[in-house]
Amino acid sequence: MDQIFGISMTTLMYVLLGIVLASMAVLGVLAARNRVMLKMGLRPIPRRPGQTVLIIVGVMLSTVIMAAAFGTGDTLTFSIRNQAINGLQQIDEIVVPTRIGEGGSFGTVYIPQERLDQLLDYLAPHDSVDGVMPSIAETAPVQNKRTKLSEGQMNIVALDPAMMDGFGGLALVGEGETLLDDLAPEDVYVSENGMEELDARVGDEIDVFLQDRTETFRIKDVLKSGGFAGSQPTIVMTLERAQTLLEPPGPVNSVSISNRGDANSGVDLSKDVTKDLRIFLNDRETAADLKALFDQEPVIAAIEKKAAEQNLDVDLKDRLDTFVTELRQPELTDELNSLLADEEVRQVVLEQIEKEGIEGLEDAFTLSRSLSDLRVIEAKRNILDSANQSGSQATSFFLLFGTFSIAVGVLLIFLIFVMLAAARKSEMGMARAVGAKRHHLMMMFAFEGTAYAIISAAVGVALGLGVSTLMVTLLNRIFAGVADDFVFTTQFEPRSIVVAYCLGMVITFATVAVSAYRVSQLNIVVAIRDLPETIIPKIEPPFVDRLMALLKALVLPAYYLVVAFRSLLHGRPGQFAKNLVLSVVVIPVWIIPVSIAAIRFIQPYLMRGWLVLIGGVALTYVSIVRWDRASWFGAGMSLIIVGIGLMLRWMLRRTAMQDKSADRLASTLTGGLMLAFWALPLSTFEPIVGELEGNFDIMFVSGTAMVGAAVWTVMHNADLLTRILPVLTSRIGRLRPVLVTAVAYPMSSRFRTGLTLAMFALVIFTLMVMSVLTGTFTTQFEEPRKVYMGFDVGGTVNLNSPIADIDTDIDANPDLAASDFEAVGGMTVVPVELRQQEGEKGRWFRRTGMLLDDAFLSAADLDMKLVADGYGPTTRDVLDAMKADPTLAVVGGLMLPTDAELAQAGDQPRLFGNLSYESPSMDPVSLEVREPQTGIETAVTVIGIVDRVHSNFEALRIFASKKLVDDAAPFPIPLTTYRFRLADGVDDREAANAIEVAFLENGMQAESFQETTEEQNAAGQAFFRLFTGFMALGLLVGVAALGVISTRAVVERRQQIGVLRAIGYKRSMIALSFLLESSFISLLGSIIGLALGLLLSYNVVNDIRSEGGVGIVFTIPWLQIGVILAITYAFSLLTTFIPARQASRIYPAEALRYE
Amino acid sequence: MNDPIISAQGIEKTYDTGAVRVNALRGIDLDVERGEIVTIMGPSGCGKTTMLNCLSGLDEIDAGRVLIDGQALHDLPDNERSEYRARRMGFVFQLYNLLPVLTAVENIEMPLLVSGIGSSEARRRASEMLDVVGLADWARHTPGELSGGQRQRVTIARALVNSPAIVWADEPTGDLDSETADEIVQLVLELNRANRQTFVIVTHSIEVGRIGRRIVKMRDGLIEDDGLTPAPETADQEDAE
Repeated sequence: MDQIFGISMTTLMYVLLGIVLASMAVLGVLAARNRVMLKMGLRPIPRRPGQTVLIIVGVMLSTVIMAAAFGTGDTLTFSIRNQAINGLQQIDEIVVPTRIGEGGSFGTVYIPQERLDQLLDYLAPHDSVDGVMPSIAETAPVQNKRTKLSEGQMNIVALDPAMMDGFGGLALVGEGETLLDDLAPEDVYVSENGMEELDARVGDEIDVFLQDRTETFRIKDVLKSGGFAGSQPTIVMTLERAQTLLEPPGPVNSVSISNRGDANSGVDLSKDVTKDLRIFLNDRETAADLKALFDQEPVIAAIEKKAAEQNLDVDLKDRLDTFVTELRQPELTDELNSLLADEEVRQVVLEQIEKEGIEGLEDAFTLSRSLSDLRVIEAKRNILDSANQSGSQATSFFLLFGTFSIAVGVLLIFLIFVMLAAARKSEMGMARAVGAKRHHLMMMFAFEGTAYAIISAAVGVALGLGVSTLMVTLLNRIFAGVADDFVFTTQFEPRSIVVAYCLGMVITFATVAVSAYRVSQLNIVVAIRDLPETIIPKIEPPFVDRLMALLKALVLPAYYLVVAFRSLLHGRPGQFAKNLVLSVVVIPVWIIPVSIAAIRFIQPYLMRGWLVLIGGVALTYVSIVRWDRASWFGAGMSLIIVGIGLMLRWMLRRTAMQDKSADRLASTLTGGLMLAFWALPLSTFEPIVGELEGNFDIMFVSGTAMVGAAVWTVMHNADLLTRILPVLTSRIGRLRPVLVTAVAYPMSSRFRTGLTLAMFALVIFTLMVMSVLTGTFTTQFEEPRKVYMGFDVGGTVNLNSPIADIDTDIDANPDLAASDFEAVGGMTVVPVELRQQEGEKGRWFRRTGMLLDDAFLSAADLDMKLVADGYGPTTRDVLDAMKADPTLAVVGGLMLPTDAELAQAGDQPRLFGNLSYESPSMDPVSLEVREPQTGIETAVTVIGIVDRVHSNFEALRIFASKKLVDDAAPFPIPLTTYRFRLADGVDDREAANAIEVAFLENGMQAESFQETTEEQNAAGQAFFRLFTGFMALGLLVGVAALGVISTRAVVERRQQIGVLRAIGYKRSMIALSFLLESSFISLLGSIIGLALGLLLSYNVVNDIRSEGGVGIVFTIPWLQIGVILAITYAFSLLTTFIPARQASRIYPAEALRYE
Repeated sequence: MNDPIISAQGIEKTYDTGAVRVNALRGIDLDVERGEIVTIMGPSGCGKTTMLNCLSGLDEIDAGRVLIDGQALHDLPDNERSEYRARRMGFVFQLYNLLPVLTAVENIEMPLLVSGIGSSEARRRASEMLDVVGLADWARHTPGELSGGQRQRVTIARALVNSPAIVWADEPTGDLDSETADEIVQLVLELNRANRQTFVIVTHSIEVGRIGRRIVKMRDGLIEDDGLTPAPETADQEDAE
């Protein structure tokens, strides 16, 4: 994994390492100069091992989450790379005929002998190439004569033994390898997975079913998978034998190339070899024509625009930049010639041209196709690149989904240090009283925090990697049902470990710095006497003082410099040296004093609200006009609400109203307004601000804001709860005093309780959102028969061995009962290009055509969204019309935009003009249809739009009768795909198996739609659960917070526990009081999280539905939610149980003695 | 002599801090009459508070026997002892030891609630008790909002609200100025006269010491002197008269 969020991991590592090392160096110097503070900071760590362990656990949790995300990304990258290298071994590039990639469904395309000779002659002396293998790759059904087991789509690979140099031999499963030189014509090698499929052993005879005959071979030996033996079931024979067997139209259909170096290092030469080959293979004249077409300002601007897009792959961006640079050259350069044949670049350029609607470039599409008859696939490099991308995406995904947990982890770190400060309050007050300055307290705290950070980050990384290993194990289980041959192998890059460790350290540093600053501001008397902080009225420093402090901070290095030279003038060289060093050392951390002074300077205006209001208005404006981001818009609006609340509070405090009441009123209003704002779907504001873009960031911002607002409101009205509780609990008898204290204590420490409540609510919130979205999107599939247009089983046959008449074959086959099948339909899938026939002819749109036979049209049962006037009203009417008139067609629901998409698309060319998926009615639409290979054109009239309920199946397809092309095509077009509707009571899985066996010679691969749907659902749900599990790591943080609070409470309230015991509290009542206290927080947090999570999910689901999501019903998985909440509650009780038990065991006299 | 409400025989208590063993009580014998005010005095570390804790059942004893109203307190399981404290005893501490998160009236009603008294009845009696100690207007204030004297009055109200047979007070005026301390002393005397409750008061203060007729002087974990002293009129004197 090389990048994360578009940032190079190496750069990130160096930057983070720099920050951590610089911070450590500064702290080291400070520690050497302030040994007393160092001792005071570090002394409590070994003294209270229990507390130390608890703190380390709390501090490390955010690191665990980050390390787990990085570990998973690394594993994914490594596993895919591994798979690629093992799969391809020495093969670096493959040359194939161009037409294969563009839908070679009309027959396998071969390379002409003359062209092959040219290619081999070119490659033979190439410095970077050490192996060239002309080969044939086909598929055919194969059956083991002994076991009768078969494989419908067995790969047949034919190689030239004389060309094995550079590739090494094919590895045998037993021992050694083979160079194929001793392979007799009647013998073949079979890959190990091929052997499994056929349940074969060496010496078995196998039948290979060809179009017009069956050939029998003997299995000579078993090949290990990978390289030419591939990853799918494969048989390998000599090229000579295959050429006689298959009677191909050319000698070979592919040429594999091995670069110099081994399986790993060969790929480094891939770019050069590919470039040389493309230049060699391209028709230079066509390339020059293409250059001439593209060399115009609108095209260059369009490509530059694309290259400037954020999140674009760095390598692609580089190639696009080069493309533009070379395009500007007067003549066609080799670089440009090569890039024109780069499919990814060409596709992006052509798409961009289409998107921008640049006219007069219609020929570009045709010219691109005729640039070369052969194309070079950078097989290994492409897979390795995609491995890197997948790794980055997985890490980004896990990090994004872990954002909430990481945020909660940061809150926990803050909470821990707030509590540590509370514990040391009197000690720190004494230190201040005897002369310690504020910065000494900050230092003391920073030393302690750093010690915890060093250990916690290390433990966190180790545990995070453990979590990632666990997740990889689970991923393997998920994949076991989907991709048998793919296994994730745990792998951690040292770079990722360093980044995770440093990130953990930096987050802890930053949090410690903020809490240390907060601590340093304590009032000495308040601290020593443990008085409430509210006792000291806050006095606003005068404007001049604040301004001077800011100015001093701004010129801090210069200030030290002046002092240094003044010391020199006064003959104090020691002071000179010290201040000179300070003037330099302070520069890297200059931002901190400046920020503090700046915040202090504006703090009064912030607290009065108007500055916050102005900031909010500005942010909202910029987010709408420039950034176009919903998250920033929401943040701006939230600031406006906070600003109004603060202004209201400031004004109310100036009336006769008590401060407490003014605060309550203003805070409740702020929280309420904020909740109301975020509870509204963002589309509410679209009429005013237009459509803003939002991604996961909006979920993060809205979640944080909603939970924050809810907790804020609850905590500012918490005293009402303590008043209501006596009334509510008047009948509970002896439990009542326990309940009263259980609520009174958390309500008295609002900051601490609010922070914990927010953490709990935030975690529950994310889990609720995840659960509801999982429930909604994995259980809402329609009946498979409905989705698959009225069929239960689907099958495809080998292109080389089509079925002549399936009905006759079914009737004739003794193993199939015709009565089991209610209907059997056939179709052929072909690539097509479409454009409007009437009015101004636009560009061609590439789509997939589904050519249906009459049986299909007679039996299909599909929902139509729109039917053109005169062709309905029922689906049956439409299908019958299509059967009768092959020029009539219907298109898939996704071919048309929704109303919203239509409005957003602006002037972009559209196939159906202003017709939208949601239009109330439609007129028939005439389209021109072109077969891209042959260029044959015909016309169709679209008379209906298929409902998106079938979207899994039809996506972007046009459906027409097969008769449309039967007459026009130069050769007979076979049916390749079949659909079967089964009679009632027939088992779909058994039927699929029976169909496979019956049509083995045709290479039939059949699947039960019910089974496929279930597998997809199961895999989808397993994935969602894995992510939910990952996000549930945040729960650990919430539960740990409760543990920290409870443990701390036992220490803080030791004397009060003694009093309670003295006045008659039993041990069980003390324990119960603690358990109820944590229950109060966890239950209240759960309720807030649940309510807000459901609300946000509802909005998300509605939003998706309004943007064209069909068949989505908001579903609350109550059982899953119940389990999550129950587990959360159980763990929170468990965490509190130990301190609660500890509290209950304190002897009253002992507790009362405690100070 | 009537049956004593408190009868202690041969009480021993040793603390082991790990570094040192401290024989805090080395065989204490003490009987206290119903309605009597007994003050326990002595230098720091002589075992006054330990004796109070052991007699009241707040602490375990190593040897000896404590009978409260004829009931062997240390033979009771912890739960029953807690219940006994809730119904029959009240406590006043030097540092007030009020629950900071509850208001004055909530602090006072707490022993009643623990004893199973209904909430409205508990609130009524707690408010009455607040009135008795002269803090009716401070009912909804938390301890942090009260002065030292006010807090100690609340503590006394809490100790007396369930009409306990015995009130144990550990340095009830130790944290107060002399004027406030005097007010507290008078309050204790008034309540003793009105309710005939037994008071066992640990104190350093001579003035407080004089509150009862009987001063128990301690030294090094032993009772050095147990004698009557001229003192203000208390409930036991009234009985005697």
